[in-house]
Amino acid sequence: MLFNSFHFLIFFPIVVGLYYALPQKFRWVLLLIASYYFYMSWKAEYIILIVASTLVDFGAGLAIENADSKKRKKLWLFLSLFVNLGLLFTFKYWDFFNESIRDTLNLFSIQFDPSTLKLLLPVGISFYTFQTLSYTIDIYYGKIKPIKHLGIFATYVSFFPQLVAGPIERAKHLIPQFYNKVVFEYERVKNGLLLMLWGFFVKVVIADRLAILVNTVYKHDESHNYLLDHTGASLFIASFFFMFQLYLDFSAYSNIAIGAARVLGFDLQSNFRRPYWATSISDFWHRWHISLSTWFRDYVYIPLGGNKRGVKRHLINLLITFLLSGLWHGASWNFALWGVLNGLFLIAQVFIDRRKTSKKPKTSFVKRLLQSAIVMLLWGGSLIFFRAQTFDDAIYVFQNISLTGWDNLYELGLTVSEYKFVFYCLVSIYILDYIQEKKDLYKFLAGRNIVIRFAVYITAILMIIYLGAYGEDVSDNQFLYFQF
Amino acid sequence: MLIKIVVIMIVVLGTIYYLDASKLFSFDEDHVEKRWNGIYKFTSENEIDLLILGNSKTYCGINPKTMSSRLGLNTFVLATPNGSLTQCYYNLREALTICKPKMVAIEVTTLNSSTMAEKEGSGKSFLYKDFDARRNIYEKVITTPKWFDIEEYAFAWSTSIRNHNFLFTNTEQIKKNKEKKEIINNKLYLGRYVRFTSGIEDSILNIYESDGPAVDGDSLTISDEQLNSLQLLIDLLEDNNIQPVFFTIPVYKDHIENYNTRYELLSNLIEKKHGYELFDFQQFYQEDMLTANCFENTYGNQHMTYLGSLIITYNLSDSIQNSPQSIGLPNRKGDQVWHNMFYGEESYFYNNPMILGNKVLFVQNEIVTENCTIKEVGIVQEEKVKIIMAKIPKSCILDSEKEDLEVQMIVDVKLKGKPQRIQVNLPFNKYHIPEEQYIYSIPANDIEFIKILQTKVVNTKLSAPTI
Repeated sequence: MLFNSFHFLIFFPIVVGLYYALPQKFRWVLLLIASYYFYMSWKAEYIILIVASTLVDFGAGLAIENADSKKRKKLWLFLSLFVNLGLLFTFKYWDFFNESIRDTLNLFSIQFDPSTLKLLLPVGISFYTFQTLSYTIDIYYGKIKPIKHLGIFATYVSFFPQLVAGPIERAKHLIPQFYNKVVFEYERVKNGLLLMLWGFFVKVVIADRLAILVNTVYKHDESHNYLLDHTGASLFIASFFFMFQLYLDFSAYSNIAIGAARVLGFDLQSNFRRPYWATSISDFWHRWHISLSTWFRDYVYIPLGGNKRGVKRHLINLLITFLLSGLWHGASWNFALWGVLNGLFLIAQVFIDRRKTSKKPKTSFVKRLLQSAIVMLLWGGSLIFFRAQTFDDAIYVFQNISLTGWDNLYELGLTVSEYKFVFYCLVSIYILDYIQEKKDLYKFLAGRNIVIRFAVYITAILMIIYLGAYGEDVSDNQFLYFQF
Repeated sequence: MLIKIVVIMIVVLGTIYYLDASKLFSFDEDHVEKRWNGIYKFTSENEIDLLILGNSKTYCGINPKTMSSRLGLNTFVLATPNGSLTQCYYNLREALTICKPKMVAIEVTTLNSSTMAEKEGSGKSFLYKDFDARRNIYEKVITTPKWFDIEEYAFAWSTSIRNHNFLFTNTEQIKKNKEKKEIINNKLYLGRYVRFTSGIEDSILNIYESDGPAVDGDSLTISDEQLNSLQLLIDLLEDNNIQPVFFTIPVYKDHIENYNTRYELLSNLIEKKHGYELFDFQQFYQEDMLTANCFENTYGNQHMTYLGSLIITYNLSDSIQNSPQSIGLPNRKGDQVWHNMFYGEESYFYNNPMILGNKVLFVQNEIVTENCTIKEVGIVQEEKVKIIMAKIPKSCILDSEKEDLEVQMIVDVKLKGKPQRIQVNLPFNKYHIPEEQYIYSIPANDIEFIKILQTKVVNTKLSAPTI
C-alpha cells in the first residue's frame, strides 16, 4: 500500500478511529494487525520475511542479554546479523553478486554461469532489517535492554508509518513509546495531519511532476535506451530535476510517515533538514536521510574506528561507510560509485576543514547561497550515477550534458504551463526551506485566523487533487476509438 | 476537530461535485455518452421492445432502425467499446430500471477470456466513459467494485478528477466546455455508430494469404468471470420474464480458423446448458453475401461495414422473427405513433410497403444513379396529401449542396386513371431530416406509380433541370 493511494486514505482514518476507541493495552494489537495488513496489501506472502526477522531478533535479543559470556553474546548477535543480512543479501544482492563475479571472471576468459534467483525485492527490506539489526546490536553493546513483549516488539519492527521507507528508528527511541499512554491531543493530531498534508502536496504535485520529465529522459528499457536520444540541455534539466525529485519525494514520504505516527501519538525522528541549504558536504550529510546516515555512523563508521585511528584509517573508514551506503541504496556498481564519490567529497571536506581556523566566521546570505550551490552541484553530479540505469548511461550523461540545445524542451513530457508551474514550485520550496531555517512555519500558520487556515488547508487539498501528477493514463483524451 | 474535518471535506467534495456537474473537464460527447443519453431520452417517451447488448462489433454490426422497421418494434443497441459480458450484465441492470424489453439479444464476442481487472489503456478508458455516462446512482454504486480497483474509484466517479490533467495538457477543451451551449437534438437515435463504409482491400487480403488467419478459434476461451456474469445475466432476464437470445457478429471468413471449436463451446454453453437460441452467423457463414466489402479493412480487430451491417441486421431480424422465442414480441405495425416515428428512417419503406390505411403506396429501393445510390423512393399517404419521397444517404451529398440538388425521375404512372410517362422533380425537403438521409419530396395527389424508368440527381444551380 502506498501512502499516496486511495487505499491508504481509507485505511488510515479507520486505523486512527479504532486506535483512539480502543483501551491503551489493546492498541499495540491494532497497530500490529494494521501494519501487517499494510504490508500484505503489497504482497501477502512476503510478510513471512518480517515475521522471521521479528522472531529471530526477539529471540536473539533475549539470548544476548541472558548469555553468560561475551563469546555467546557474539554468537547470538552473529545469528541476528546472519539472518537479517542473509535475507537482505538473498533478495537484493544475490544476482548482483553473482553477475559481478561472472563479469570479473569473464575478463580473464573464465566462463562462469551462475544461477540467478530473479526474486522480487520485498518492499522496505532494507529499512526494516536495519531497524531490527540496530536493536540486537544495541543490546549487545549494552545500550538497551531487550524487550520481553513479543507483540510490542513485532509492532516496533513492522510499524506501518515507517515500515517501507523509514525513518529508520532506534529501539531506544521508539519501543518505550508503545508503553506511553496516548490520549487524543488536538494540537498534536492536527500537527500530524498537517505534516501529512504537506507531504502529500510535495510528493503528488511537485515530485511526481518532476518525475515525468526525469523518467522520459532517463528511460532505458529492454527494447530501447531512450537516454541516448537526448543530449545537451535535456540531460541537464533532467539531472537538475532529479536532484529535486529525489529530495522532495523522499522528504515528503518521511513527512507523511512522521505525521501519521504523530497522529497516533508517536514521535519519529526527523529524516531531512533542508539539505539544499547545506553549507558544506559534511553539513549536507547531517541534513540528508538523517536516520540512515546516523545508522551507518553508529553501526559501521564508529565500530571501524571512525576518526580515532589516524588520518589514513579515518579516510578508509569514510570510504567504506559510503561504499556500503551506496550499495544499500541499490544492488549495482552505479550505486557503489555514487557512494564512493560522496565519500571522496567528504574526504575533500575533511582536508578543507583541517585548514580552517577554529572560529567559524559569520556567513552572509550570498556566501551561504554560493556554498549551498556548490554542495548542490557536487551532489547533483553524483546523482547522475544514482539515476542512470547503467554505468555507460552515466558516462553518456557526463559526456553530453550541457546548457545548449533547448529546442526539444517541450518534448520531454511537460507542457509549457507545467514548466512554469514547476519553476514556481521549486523556487517556493527553496524559499520556504530557508524561512524554515529561521522560523517555524507551522507555528506561523497556527497563529493565523481560522478563515485563513481553512483556506490554506482546502487550497492544498484541492491542489493535490487537481494539480497532482497522477492518472495520466486514465484521462479521456488519451485514446481514440479506432480499435473498438 | 471532527467538525472541522467534516467542514473541510464538505467544501472539497462540494467543489469536486460542482466541477463534475459543470462538465468543465468533460471530453467531447462521444458515442458512449450519446448512447446512454439516447436510451434515457428514448425511454422517457417510448418503450423498448428489443434491447441489444454487446461491444463495438454490435453497434457497428446492427442497424437498429432497420431491425425496428423489419420487425415492427422498437429496438435499441446498448453496446459499449471493448465491452465484456460483465459490462453487459451491469449495463442491463441499469437499463431495466428505465425499460422492460420483451427480448434482449446478446452478442457473444463479449464472452471472452478477459476480466475486468485486466482492462487497461484504451479499454480502461472506455470503461470509465461507459460508467460515467450511466445515471442510476444505486446501480453505479453496485457496479463500482465489480468494474474497478479501489484505486480507480475516484477516477470512475469524478470526471474532473479523471481529467484533472486537462489543466496542463488540454486547456482548449476546458475553454470549449466553458463556452458550450446545450444543443437539443430531436433526431431519432437508437444506439448505432456508423464507422466503416468501405471494405477489406487487396493489401489485407494478401496478408490473409501470406500470414493466414488472425484468430485461432482453438485459442478462444471464456473466463470464469464471464461465465459467472452470463449466469447472472440469464437469471436477471428470467426473473424479469425477458426472453434472451444470443448471436454472433461474424468476421471475414479468412480472419478466423478453427471456428468450430469456438462454436461448440458457445453452443454447449448457451444452447445445451442454458437452453437458449444462438444465432451464430460465423458458424453459418453466408459466403455469397458476406464478401470482403462487408468488413472493416484491418487484419486485426474487425468490424462490419455499413453493407455488412445491413446483411446481418436482416439475418438477425429474420432469425428472431422465425424463432419460437419471438412469440412475446409486440408488432407495432398497427400503431400510427410507431409509423410516425420510423417513416422516413432507414429501411422503413423497404420493410413497410403496404400498411394499414394504405399509408405507403409504393416503394423501390437501391436506385443507382450516376453520382449516388438512392436508398428508397416511395409514395406516402399523409392525412390529406400524397407525397413522393426519395431518400439519399448523407454520405453521398455535400452538406453545402443539399438544398441545390433535385431528384429527377422518368416514371410510368397513371394520372387520373390514364397511363402516362412523365418527369417528376423532387426538391429538398428541409422540414424532415432523418439522421442518415436527406429527403427530396413533392406532393403528388393524382399520381399512381407504376414503374421508375430513369433517375438522376441534379444540381439545379449548375445545370438545366432536364434528364
